[in-house]
Amino acid sequence: MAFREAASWWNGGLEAAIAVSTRSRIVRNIAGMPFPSRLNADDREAVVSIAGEAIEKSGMFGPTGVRCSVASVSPIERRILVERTLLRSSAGEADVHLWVSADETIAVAVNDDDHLRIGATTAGADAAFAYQRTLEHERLLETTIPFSFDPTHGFHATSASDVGTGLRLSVMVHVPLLIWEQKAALEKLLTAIVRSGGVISGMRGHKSRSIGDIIEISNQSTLGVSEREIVDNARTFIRKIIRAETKAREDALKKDRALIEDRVWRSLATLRAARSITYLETTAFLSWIRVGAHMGIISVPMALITMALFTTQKAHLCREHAALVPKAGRDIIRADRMRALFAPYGG
Amino acid sequence: MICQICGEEEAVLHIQEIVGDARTELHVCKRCAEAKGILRDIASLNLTLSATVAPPRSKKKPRAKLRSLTCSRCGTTGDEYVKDHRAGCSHCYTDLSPVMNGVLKELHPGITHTGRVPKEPGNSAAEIIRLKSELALLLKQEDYERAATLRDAIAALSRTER
Repeated sequence: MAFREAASWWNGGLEAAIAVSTRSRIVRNIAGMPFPSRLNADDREAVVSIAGEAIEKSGMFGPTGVRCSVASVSPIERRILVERTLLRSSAGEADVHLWVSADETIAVAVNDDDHLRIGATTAGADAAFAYQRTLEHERLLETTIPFSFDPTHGFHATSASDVGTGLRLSVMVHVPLLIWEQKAALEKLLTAIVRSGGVISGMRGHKSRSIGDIIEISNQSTLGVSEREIVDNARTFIRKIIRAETKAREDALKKDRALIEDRVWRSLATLRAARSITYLETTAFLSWIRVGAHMGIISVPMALITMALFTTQKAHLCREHAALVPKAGRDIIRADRMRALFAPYGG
Repeated sequence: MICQICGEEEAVLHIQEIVGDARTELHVCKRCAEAKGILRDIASLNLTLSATVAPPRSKKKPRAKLRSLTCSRCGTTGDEYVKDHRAGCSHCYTDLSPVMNGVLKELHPGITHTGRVPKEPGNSAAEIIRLKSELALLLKQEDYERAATLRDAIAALSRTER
């Protein structure tokens, strides 16, 4: 499977210095068919053909979209799909098919946990737009596929946590100064978010670890709330987080400008010089580089920093290899990549 | 997951602490969390990035009669649904409804859908008209960000209509 050098949603976006990306995902099932976990091989194939026909007929991916069967891609390619958030890491393989738009902002997975899983990702903070994109694609499918639905439960889903709207909206926010300097303010903010129905996790669904000072906020509930409320709620969360982190950055600069500048420049210098570097170290340095670019300390494009963040993951490093390179080797490849990416930005 | 302290009840609180590269995990039930003061700590805003609180599951188990319900189409039982929260087909939503509603009540603010409903194919002309009036309102309110999104949606819908 051919991947773009960079997914288009790595390219900045609204409030890019703090909001890395926003993702919307809707799950739907075809009326009258058992859900994927209860399907036999023949029925799974039937689902692929019904969904495939609807997708192709709608023309939603045009001639440039990519279609693949997850079972037929190499292990590295599969990991890349996960690292680019196009495929769920726990997605099965049997007859799971994936359609991806050429710019990698929209993906439809067929026969994962549900018959159809429509995901849209946008750069920066844009909950309304991300949701709108999934809705547009769902509406295109709706013209040919009858969805499993009843007025009380809404859209049926395999998991109880998806019933109703089937909508999960999540945003990845980069909040290093809140984490390191204003923990109490962050805790207060996150508690308020959790209380009003948000879920907090680390980058890419890591239960609790905030890799590269990035946390993900998403809605917990899908039933008894409308799509509009979910979107509005997400917009409120995002606005609050962005305001708090911006203030924390300004406060930190006022308090000790030399210290912040030192961290930023050291981070950039390390990535420009290291010969072997681990994933966690890299994400920590990228975090300070992002702050530096935001506060005008260094001039590195936000899109480049986001690209570095995603392409420093292990499968991306091993794209040209048949299998994952052992860790020591990966750390060397990673350092090479980072040196090449940041070479033009020495100040 | 079973509580790591009493080894009996279902764990409702999952705590991970990460210091440097070392990670420790603790899974505890509500009773033990209360007894050890963990729940109180979290209630008093001691929530950190390394503590995630799962919505409390009620200790009350559904009656045996409900648990023995079986979906006439796919065979998923009420007991299975209570355990893993997974439906097997759309019929489960009818046949297992009483037991399902108990589970859904714990996960969501309501058990009645208030979101959008599927459109009958070919019905989008009326929707375009409705959206256009909403767009006019948004423009009046000078909410240009939403208006732009809506304008794109109308364009997309008009394409399908043709």
